[in-house]
Amino acid sequence: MMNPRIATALLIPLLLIPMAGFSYAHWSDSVFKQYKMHYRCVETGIITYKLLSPWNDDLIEMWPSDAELETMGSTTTITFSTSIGPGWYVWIGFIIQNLGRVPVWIDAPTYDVNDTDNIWSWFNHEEYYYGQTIDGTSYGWPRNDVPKGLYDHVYVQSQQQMQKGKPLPPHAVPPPPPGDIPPPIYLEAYGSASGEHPMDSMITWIKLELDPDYPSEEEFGIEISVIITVTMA
Amino acid sequence: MKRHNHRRPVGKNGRLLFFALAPMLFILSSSFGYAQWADHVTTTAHLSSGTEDILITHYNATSNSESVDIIIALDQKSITIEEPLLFPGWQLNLTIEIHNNGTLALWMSSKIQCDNENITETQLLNLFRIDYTDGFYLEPGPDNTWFTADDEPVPDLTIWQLLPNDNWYKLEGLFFDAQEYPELEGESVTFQIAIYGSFTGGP
Repeated sequence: MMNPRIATALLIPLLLIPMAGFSYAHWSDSVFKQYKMHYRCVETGIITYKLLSPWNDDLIEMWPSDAELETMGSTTTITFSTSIGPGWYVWIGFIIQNLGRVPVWIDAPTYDVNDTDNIWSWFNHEEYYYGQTIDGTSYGWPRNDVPKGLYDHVYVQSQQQMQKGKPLPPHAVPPPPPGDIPPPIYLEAYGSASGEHPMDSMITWIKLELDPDYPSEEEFGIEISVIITVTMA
Repeated sequence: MKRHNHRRPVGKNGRLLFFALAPMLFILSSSFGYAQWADHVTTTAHLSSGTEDILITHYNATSNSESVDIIIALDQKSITIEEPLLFPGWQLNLTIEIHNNGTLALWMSSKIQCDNENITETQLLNLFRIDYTDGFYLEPGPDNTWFTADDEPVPDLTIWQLLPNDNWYKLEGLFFDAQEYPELEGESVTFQIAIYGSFTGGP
């Protein structure tokens, strides 16, 4: 039980404060200062992406489509689905851009897997980050200066293209392009600073492969999420 | 010196205090979580096992024999050709349409098998005097007729795959070249041509 004397000592000021407020309110006017504050927040998006696989692109359903992404401007989520077998692989490449007003760090990816058929251990995955290293810190590039040889020209010829005898595009680079750097990568805040374009964009290439030696012929399904965390610098 | 720590039992007020504090702590901790200001970029792959499933969806045979009997199995996986009256000069041209009914692109191949063992075309000729030619084809060409010079073959089986919902054609020509082999008279022969479609095993 609380000591009654202490309780009284606490209660008296509590009673006096509203009384004082009440009496003050009778003969007073007020002025207010209103503070409007907007929390800074991290805002990044995938500006463009590619799924490169030697198998027919029509066999991969993906979202968003190129047209949808162009309309959206950017996305934080890419999804795709397809049927696979041993040795199947895909290269997932995308450009991440910092769209917020604060600089950020792009961390190494983590994997979240819904694996009811216990097949995840048969998957191989590789991750490559591309930016530039300045004084020991990893930076991105200004959006329009992202090197083409690290994204635009990266190419895996599909079986269908090979079958049709289509030549490789000029300057085609097989993935992963050379010159990756370890994460995290520092991306400057979006927007022009003193007329200069900030280094707000970077490239990621991720390979996902079902091991060619996967032995089972049982049906399976798996959902794999590659999560890249972005934190405020 | 031994120190006695006399703890007072937690009374009703103590419990009330706890229940009042707990939501405050949760609110504080959630604020802290929000204050991390983190974002995520996520790629999600929904992957399922593909199927390898090829079917014989159509066939056509021409022969200089009237007794040849051709039966396609109900599962569309095999064709049986029986010839009870094989004679020197007997020939058969068989066209079969192969459909990829699965969800994976397939590398195609075929093998001649006799008594569950693979044999070559040369062995088939030497053993049974069956001159066998075959190939995978895409189109019958401008004349729209198979077994003519303009048939369009699959250019390279190490590059080309039979894609899902697509068709290829297998042309097989058999000629019984036994004019000078009377010892084969009265003999019977059984062999099979196995056509394989596999997602793995490509270049």
